[in-house]
Amino acid sequence: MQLSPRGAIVIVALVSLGWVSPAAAEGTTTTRVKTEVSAYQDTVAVSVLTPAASATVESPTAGWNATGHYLVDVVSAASPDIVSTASPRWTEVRQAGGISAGYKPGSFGVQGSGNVSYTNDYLSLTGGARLLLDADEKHLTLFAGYYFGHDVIGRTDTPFSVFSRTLDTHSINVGFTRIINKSTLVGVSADVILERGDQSKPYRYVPIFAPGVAATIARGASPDVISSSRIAARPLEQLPLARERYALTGRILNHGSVGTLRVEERLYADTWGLFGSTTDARFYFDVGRRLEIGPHARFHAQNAVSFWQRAYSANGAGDIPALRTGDRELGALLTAGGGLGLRWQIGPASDPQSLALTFGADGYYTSFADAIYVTDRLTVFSALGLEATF
Amino acid sequence: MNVNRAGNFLARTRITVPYVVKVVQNGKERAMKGTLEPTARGGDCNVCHSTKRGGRARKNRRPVMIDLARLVYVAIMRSWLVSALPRLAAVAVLACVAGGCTRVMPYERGTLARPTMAPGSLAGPGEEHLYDVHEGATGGGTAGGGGCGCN
Repeated sequence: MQLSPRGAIVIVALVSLGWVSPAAAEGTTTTRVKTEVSAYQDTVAVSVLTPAASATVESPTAGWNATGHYLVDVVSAASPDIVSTASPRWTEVRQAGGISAGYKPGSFGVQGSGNVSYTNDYLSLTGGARLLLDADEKHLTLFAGYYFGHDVIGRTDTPFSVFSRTLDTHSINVGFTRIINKSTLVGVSADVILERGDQSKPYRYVPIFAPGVAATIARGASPDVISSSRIAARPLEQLPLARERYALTGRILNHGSVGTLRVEERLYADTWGLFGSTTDARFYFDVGRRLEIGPHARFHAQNAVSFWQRAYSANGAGDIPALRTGDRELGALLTAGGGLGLRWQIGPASDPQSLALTFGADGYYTSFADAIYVTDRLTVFSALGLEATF
Repeated sequence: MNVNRAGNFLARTRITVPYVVKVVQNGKERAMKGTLEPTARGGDCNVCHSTKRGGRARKNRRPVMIDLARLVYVAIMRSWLVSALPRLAAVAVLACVAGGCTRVMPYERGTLARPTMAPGSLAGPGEEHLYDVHEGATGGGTAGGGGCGCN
C-alpha cells in the first residue's frame, strides 16, 4: 500500500494527538493543546491564512516530552511579478505536520523531530536529532544537532515523476545556554547549513534587457516599463547549485521586577555573498493576575547576493547571464517592525493557567534597495490562539 | 506523590492546607511533626530544607576552595571594573558565560522556569514562517537548557 504525503501528515498528527490521552491520565505529566489561526496580508497582493494545531505532553520530572503539530497554509497571490507574466492570481494550499520527542532523564538527553510539508508542487521532508548535555550543576547546557532535509521541487499539476528537482539540506547546530543568575540566562548558537541542489523557482521568469537599456531601468520600475524595455528572451531563474549558510546567534533573557526582556541578535553569511543582521527584542509583563502583554520589535538588514542585478543585460538568448534571480529576498533590503502580543488566562480561579487565549498583531515595513516592480512592502500579521493545559 | 532522582515532583492538583508531610522509602516512613501551611516565605519544602538552613542539601555544596576562588575572582573583577568599566563590559559578560556569575540552587529556579524565559524561540508557526520567507537569512531558532532543572 502506498502512503501519500498528505496521508502521512494526517497520520502523524492523529498519532501525536492520540498519544496525549493515556499519558495525561498518569497524573505526573503536563499536556498542552494549542490551536492558532494566523492571517497575513501585504501590499504586494499576497495573503495567507494559516490554521494550526499542536499538542504537547511532557513530564518535567521524568525528563521526557512529545509534540505533534499540523498546519495548513492557504496562500493567495497576485504580486507584480505574477502580473508581469500575464498570469492570473493563484491560490495554493500547503499542509505541514511533524512530531518531536525527547528524553533527558538526567544530565544527558536527546531531542528528535521529523517534519513533512506538502503542496501540489513541493514536498519537503526533514528529520534529525539534537543532543543536550548539562554541566556545571545544570548552570551550563551544551547542545549539538544534525538535521537532514530532502525537498522535491515540481510544477503544479505535473507529477514529480514527469518534472522534479531535488534539494538536499544538511544542518548542523551547536551552542550553549548559560545561567548567569536566578533571573538571567544567555545563549549562543551557531548554525552551518549546506544546501545541495537546484532551488531555482520553476515559475520565476527573469526579464533581460539590452546592454544599453539595463542601466536605465529604475528601482521599482513598473511591469509596463519592464515589458516595453526587455528583450524577447525571458529565461527562468537560475541559482547556484550549492550554498553554504552560516549563522551565529546570541540571546540574553532577563526577568526583572517589571517583566521578562528577551533580546536576540543573529549574524548571517553565506557563500552566495549575502550578509545579514537580525535583531529581535521582546518584553513580557503582567497586567493583573490573568493578563500578560508582550510588545515586540524586530529589525533585519541584508545586502544582495553576489550575482544580484536589478536589470540583467544580454544581447540575445545566447549570452544570458548564467546566474540570475528575481527573488527580492535575495536582494538588499531593510525590514523594521513590531507589534504586541497578549496572553489572557481564562481558566477557573483554582487554575487560571489551564486555559488561555493568545493574540498577536505585528506590522513590518520592508524597503527593497535595488529591485524592480516594488520599492517597499507593508505587511500585517496577526494570530489568534487558544491554549489548554491539563 | 512520586519524586524523581532529584527529589522533585509534579502535581497539578491543589493541596489543601494545612498539610501533613512524610517521606516513604523502601517501606520505611519518616513524618514531620505537626501540620504545615504556607508562610510569608512560601510553602516550598526548600524554604527550610536548603543550604541556608543547613540539612542534607549542604552535602551538595561546592567545596570551600571553589567559593574562596570565586570571592577572589569577584574582588579582582570588581576593582578592575571600577577603573575600566566601559572597556571591560564585554569581557565581564564573557567571564560570566564561561565561569558563571552566581550559583543558582534548584529551589531558586522558579523564575527561570517561566514560559517567557524559555531559551528557544517563542514565535508561533505562522510568525516563524513569515520570517523564513521575508528574510534571506536563517538559523538561530534552536536552543536548550534553562528552565527548572527539575531532573
